Amino acid sequence: MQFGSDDLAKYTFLPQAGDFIRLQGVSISDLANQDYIKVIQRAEERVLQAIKDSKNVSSRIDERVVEILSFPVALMLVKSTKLDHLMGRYALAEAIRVETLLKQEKNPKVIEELFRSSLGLELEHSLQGTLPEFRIPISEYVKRSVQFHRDEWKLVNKVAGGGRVFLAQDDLIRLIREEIRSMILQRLKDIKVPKLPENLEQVVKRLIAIAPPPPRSAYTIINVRPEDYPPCVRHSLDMLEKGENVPHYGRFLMATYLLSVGKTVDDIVALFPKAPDFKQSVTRYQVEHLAGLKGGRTRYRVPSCSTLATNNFCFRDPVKCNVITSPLQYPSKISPIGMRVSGKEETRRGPASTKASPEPKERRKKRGWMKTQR
Amino acid sequence: MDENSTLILKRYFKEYYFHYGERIKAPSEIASREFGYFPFGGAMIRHISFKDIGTFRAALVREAPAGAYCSNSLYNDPTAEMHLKGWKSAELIFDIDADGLKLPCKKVHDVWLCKGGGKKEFGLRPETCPNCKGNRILELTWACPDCLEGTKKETMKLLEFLEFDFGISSSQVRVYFSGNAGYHISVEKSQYETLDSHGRAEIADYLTGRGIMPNFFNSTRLLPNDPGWRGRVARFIRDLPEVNTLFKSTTFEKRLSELISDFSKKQVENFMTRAVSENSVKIDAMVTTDIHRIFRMPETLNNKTGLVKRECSDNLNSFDPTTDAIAIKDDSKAEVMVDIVPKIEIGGSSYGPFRSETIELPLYVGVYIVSRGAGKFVITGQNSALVQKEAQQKVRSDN
Repeated sequence: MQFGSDDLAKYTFLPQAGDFIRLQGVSISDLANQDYIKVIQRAEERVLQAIKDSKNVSSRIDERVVEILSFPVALMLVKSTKLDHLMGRYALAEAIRVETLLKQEKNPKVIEELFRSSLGLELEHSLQGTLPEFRIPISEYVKRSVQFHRDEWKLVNKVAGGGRVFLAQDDLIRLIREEIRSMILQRLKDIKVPKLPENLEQVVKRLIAIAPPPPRSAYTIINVRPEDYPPCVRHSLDMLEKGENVPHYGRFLMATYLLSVGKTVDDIVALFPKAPDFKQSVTRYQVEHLAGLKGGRTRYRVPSCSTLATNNFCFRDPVKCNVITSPLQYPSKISPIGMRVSGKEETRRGPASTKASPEPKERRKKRGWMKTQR
Repeated sequence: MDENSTLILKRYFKEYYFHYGERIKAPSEIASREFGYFPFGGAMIRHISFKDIGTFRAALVREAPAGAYCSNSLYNDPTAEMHLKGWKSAELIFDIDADGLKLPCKKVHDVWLCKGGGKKEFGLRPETCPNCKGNRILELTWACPDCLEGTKKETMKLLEFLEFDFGISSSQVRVYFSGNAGYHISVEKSQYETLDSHGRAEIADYLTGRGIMPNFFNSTRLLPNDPGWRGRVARFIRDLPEVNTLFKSTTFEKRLSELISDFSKKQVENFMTRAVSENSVKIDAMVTTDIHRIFRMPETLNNKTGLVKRECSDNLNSFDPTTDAIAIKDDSKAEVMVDIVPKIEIGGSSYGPFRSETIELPLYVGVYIVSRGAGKFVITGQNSALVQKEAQQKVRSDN
């Protein structure tokens, strides 16, 4: 199927919308012309809404051409502010706009076509009794769902059959918000903005003046007091103290966590003499290996809460652990980051979906505990 | 392990690789895989690669390693350091081990050893040693026929999940007895090969039922022929016997309405715990989620038993690890000074239990016990000939 101009007005990020604009023959210099005042006003409005209105960009589907043209103009405006965090924020807001429209989309063919052409993903759609109507390959589902924190996104809480996950429209669409955001962000990064006409320069100045300050830089925790350690780390320490055999994941967690909060290899090796199979030289080598001082010189990261749970080493605090995705975020006075995660938009691997942040894939790679080269 | 026992084990392994090495088949895209092995008494040597299976077989005969491994992952450069290898994809793998099943027979055959006072006893590991009150206690687990049967049932459950939920046909699945106390399963050429470890953790959690929400059946009506966990939970409700501890009513429909309308939150949780525990697969999640693992090569020997990691994809039902995985079944005998060993069944006969005694056993039984770390070979008669042969060869190769 082909998208109509009504579809393109909704899904302005589609490459087909670019083709539409080329057919109109509009150039940058034309934008100084009064004929395009509505387009520029709408473009500014899109960015302002991203900044102000709970990050939501409204839809003006009634004025199709304005809606389609204002999107690339808004991208140019945002890029011209040279504010990285504004780019992230705008990309997210536009992604939420697309998400809202897709959730209301009545034509499953439009959804299928958008998935196929933008994401290379083949959907199946059919009504089978009470089962959700869309189906996507399990591997494609989990590649995306691992970003979400809430249990309802876990594969085990979805209907899976024949290598496919059955999804309702809302879930299917929410699943790809990050990708839409990434696509828009990538476009923002890639575009080269030519010299803008004066009227657009004025808009850029206004946007810079009104843009929020960049988010706080990533925190580092050092010297966390033992009583502030997360329950999983305390559990390993308690087991060691009692001379019990701490399973592999417990040891791995304890060593990587303590290294992350500023303990030295010596401090950590000194904790082990009560372990049943303790050999100082072996333990030292292992801890040094995790610290990136031996072997592949890879500094190992603290495993995520979900990895610990998968390996049966999660001893969650029912309140404090609710908002975190990594033991390093365990709430204490010094690490308030857990509190930033709230409401519907929380993600399983970090609070990033509500703020400017690196690409999700990059982010996941950085968190993978095998991956960080020193 | 004492040197003579090591020499005899090594000789046994070498004989096996010499006579039966041809059974070891090349994995697909062999040159893109990382291999590893560890010699008897030595540390693991990893990050090596083989261009063809012949060179690998020759290395096995030459080195007679205690364990030989190959990655399920494919890399651009399998010999590079881990972070430089260039990971491409990995077959989905599963490990089902008797130890993970926590069967009641463990307390009959498992052994614990106090590192402080040296006390050894059958049974589960105590908190502290009753003799010296020390708490540095090691466990030595054993697998009895019940354990092995239990792991086979889990394997069959896994195969059912793979086929119906994950859409994997039986031709893509290979099943192996691990050579110790369970089964290894690998899936070839599937949509799951490019998943990272987070994605694989979701698959592991799906199989073990971890994170299943107690109210997930509430959203829409469950039916026994629904796909996935919905159908499994529905069939669990339907198939419970007339008299049971969960439901008062007897029909599926009535039980379902009992569950939705009458059950307290606690009762629902209790119900889900049972439904999950009876339907989930007890896999070792770490094996499935680790994409940088090297996995024991099929048809090589397991150093913990001297048994073969043997494929049984086509004969899982009739496969009997205690007879079908014996590496060299001949009339050779060996004298073994046995430490503490529960009753074991191997090669169609049962042996033991033993405590601190010297006995003559078929060589493969001796290999099994010594490999488990529960005894050592005594140097007499045939044993000493074996030792001499291996020692001479060692001298020759050292020179």
